Amino acid sequence: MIRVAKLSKTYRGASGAVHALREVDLDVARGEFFVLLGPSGSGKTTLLRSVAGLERPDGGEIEVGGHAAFSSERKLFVPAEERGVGMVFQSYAIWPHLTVFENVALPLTQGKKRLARERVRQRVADALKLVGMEEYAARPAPLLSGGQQQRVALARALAIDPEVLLMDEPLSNLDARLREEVRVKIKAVARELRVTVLYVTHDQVEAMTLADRIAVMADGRILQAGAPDELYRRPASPRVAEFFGAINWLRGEARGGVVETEIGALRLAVDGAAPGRIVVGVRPEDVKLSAARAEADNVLVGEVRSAVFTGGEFLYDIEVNGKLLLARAMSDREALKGTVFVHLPSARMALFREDPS
Amino acid sequence: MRFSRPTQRSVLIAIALIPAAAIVGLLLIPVWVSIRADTDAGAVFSLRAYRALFSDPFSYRTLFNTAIFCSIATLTALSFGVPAAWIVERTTLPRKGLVFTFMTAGLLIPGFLSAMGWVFLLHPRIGLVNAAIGMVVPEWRINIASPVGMGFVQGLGLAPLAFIRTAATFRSANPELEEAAAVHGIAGVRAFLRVTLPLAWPGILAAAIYIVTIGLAAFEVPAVIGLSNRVFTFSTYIYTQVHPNEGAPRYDLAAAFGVFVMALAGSLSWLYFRVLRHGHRFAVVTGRSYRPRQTELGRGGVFFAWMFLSVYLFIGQLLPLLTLVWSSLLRYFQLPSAAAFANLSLVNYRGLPWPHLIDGLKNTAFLMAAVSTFVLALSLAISWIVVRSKARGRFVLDAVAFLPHAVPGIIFALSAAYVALFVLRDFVPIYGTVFLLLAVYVLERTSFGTRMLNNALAQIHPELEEAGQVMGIALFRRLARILVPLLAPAFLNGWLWIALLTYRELTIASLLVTPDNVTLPMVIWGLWQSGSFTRAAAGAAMGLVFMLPFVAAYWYFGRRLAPEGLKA
Repeated sequence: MIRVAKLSKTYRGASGAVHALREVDLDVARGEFFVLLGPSGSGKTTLLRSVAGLERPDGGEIEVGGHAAFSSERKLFVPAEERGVGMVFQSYAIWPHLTVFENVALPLTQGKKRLARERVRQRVADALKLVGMEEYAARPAPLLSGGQQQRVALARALAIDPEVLLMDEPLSNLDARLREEVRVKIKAVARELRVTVLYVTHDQVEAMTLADRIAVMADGRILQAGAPDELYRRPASPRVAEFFGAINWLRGEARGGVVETEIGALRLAVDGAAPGRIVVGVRPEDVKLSAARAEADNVLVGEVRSAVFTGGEFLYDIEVNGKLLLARAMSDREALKGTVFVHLPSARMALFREDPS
Repeated sequence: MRFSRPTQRSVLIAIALIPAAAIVGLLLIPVWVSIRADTDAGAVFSLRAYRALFSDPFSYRTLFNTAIFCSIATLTALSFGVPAAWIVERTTLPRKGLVFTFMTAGLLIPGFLSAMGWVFLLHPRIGLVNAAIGMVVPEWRINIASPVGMGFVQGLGLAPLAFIRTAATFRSANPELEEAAAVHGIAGVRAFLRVTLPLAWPGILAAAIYIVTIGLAAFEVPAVIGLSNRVFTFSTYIYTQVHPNEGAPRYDLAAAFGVFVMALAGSLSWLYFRVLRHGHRFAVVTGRSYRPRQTELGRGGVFFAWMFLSVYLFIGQLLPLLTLVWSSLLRYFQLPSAAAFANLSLVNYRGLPWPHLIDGLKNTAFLMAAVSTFVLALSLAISWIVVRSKARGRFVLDAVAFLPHAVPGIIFALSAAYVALFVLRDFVPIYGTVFLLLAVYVLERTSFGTRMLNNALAQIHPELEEAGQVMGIALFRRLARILVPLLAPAFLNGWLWIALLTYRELTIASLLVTPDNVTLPMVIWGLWQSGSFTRAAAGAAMGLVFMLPFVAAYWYFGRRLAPEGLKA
């Protein structure tokens, strides 16, 4: 539904060139909810805006809904107003001089396809109902709360009946509770309409809960693309791993099925690790703590340095052979103190070859 | 198949390029006129005009006069404007909103009307104040018809501009910098001298350069006071070269002087932007807004502050206009006295050339409406390209649109007169029509229109437009349905402001008006030039009366600070 090939874009400013996109390839299937995840400056918004037609890339190709939208080779650039996609902006971009109804109706009366008045009324009503804003049709836009503006923006984007819906950090201006509510709404609506969504965010929780697939971006490149659990469990690089939350890194030397790390020898799940310097990543929730020694591989002795109660769980700092490990455990029991046994299940370890640098 | 056809965007760019090309053209005309000479063999390149200009002592006297005039005007403007700005922005003076209102009003008072009032006050023979001085020291007279005198009058008129320019500087001063000084034991006068003033200094300097640039171009005050007494500054020099009392017009000399002053004005503008940029280094950029620290004024402080402001408002704004109205009611000028009051009459009003005046009023009304509308339309095209599009060369377009602000208006008028008379004469007979005035006024005011809309557009989130674009709304529909409604307050404000500036315009009109396209200010000035001072005063008073509804409308709709970048 969206196909991007070898897309590149460089901004040239007074302070030098910034490579916003470096030969990015992307394929989003029909009906898929696809999230672009990355820190600011990673190029995710430039990619989204290029698909929308708001940015003109330097090279590569874009196809939207089976139509060529941009091709540097064929010198083709279909302007944004001709691409027929829906978009929700970070600022919502609700037109403040219009009512809710007029906001949703304007693209239908002034846009590419202009509908008869009766059809406009029907479409607007349907779209507002979809987001639960039908009661507010007559309300002037400045009188809406942030969450309501967000929903009107969604209704406006959906009213033109697009095959592709683009969303640029739509939740970043909402407070935490509202964010969760709107997130659920977006997911439900997208599923109901089977619209293809390309969604930009820097929040990994948002990405994980919404996406069918995620592409992690940094420095104008896609580091890895895949289903959320795949990225979480099998990150392709330490950088991707770090994106999905805190992780403990242990440096070491692999020899057969064992790696000599700074906290001691650890047995690996696979025997095949080629000898050499590697880095082992373990998520805090995979650092199992117990007062009694567990019968398993990779059990080390550690010292609790701090335990922080965060509600549902404890966050521990455990010192193991001079190194602090972050551990996370359910808080259904009392916090552990003093000397504890630390179990690192080999199936939960992510291995990476250490960069020569 | 879909193709990118000639887009609405390129249409908009074409619209924006028309005024830009005209501006560049008009600025090149003086250069061309000044370096050519007609010989029997046709036109040849020649520096004769420059040689003639710089070998004539009269040129040097004019330059000297201009320098004195400019310096006194700037000093006067700053010594009233800067303290007023400080008082309003940095003290706890009660009811200071009034000061803003009066200062903005001051920008609207036509300079040539104030100048007339001042002649009635300080004319060596008939001046009210001089008569009063004469009663005490018979030999003493203040001569308004001197570069110093004219500079003072001009400076009073420019004080509101100094006020508005420096008020912004004082307002944006970060209070934390002064609080830091206070915490570290630097307070009172020392804090003012060591922290407040150095921080405000770039802003004040920039305002000073800005005012010098405007003083350099000033026409109205030197025209009303200086011309009849043969004291010339730059703008009136050009006027006399084109409208000499005897002999043929000397476009070449006027153009050569014009080129010289353009270079001067250009350097001043360059300096202005340099100082501004330098000033921005001090600006602590924060998103949050803060209120600058305000100095507590005691009862005595409040008294002195209001005294100072009242003195300015009285001398700078009320006194000359009151004198003008007083004079218009007298058969011949005399001091207020019981006898004079008994003699008040409307004879000057009855004696006004009413048909002529009505013609002028009609033309002026047409120009006010047409100039404001065209300026805003063209400015929207230019500002959109500069602020919103990523078109190459948009900054050049912006700079070109700004040029009329930096270059004295009389130079535009000179070029336009020359083009209309000698280039367009045969195929577009525009000279002597109101359309010539319209065209030149529009080009001149586009500089203001684009400054205003650049600021206004920058405050409208680009995503509001992009939302329309992505959802299929084409450019002109976006402008009509999204941008123009959102910019409505700025448009209304700007429309009224441009209309008011058009109402009082005399500089450009002085070279382009003929009996067939006379404007109201030109009728009044014509009466003045013919020597019937009291009748001119009556015309001026009528001019003030006609202006009132517009000022009221401006106040009602645009209850905001006078827009940035305006030019009196």
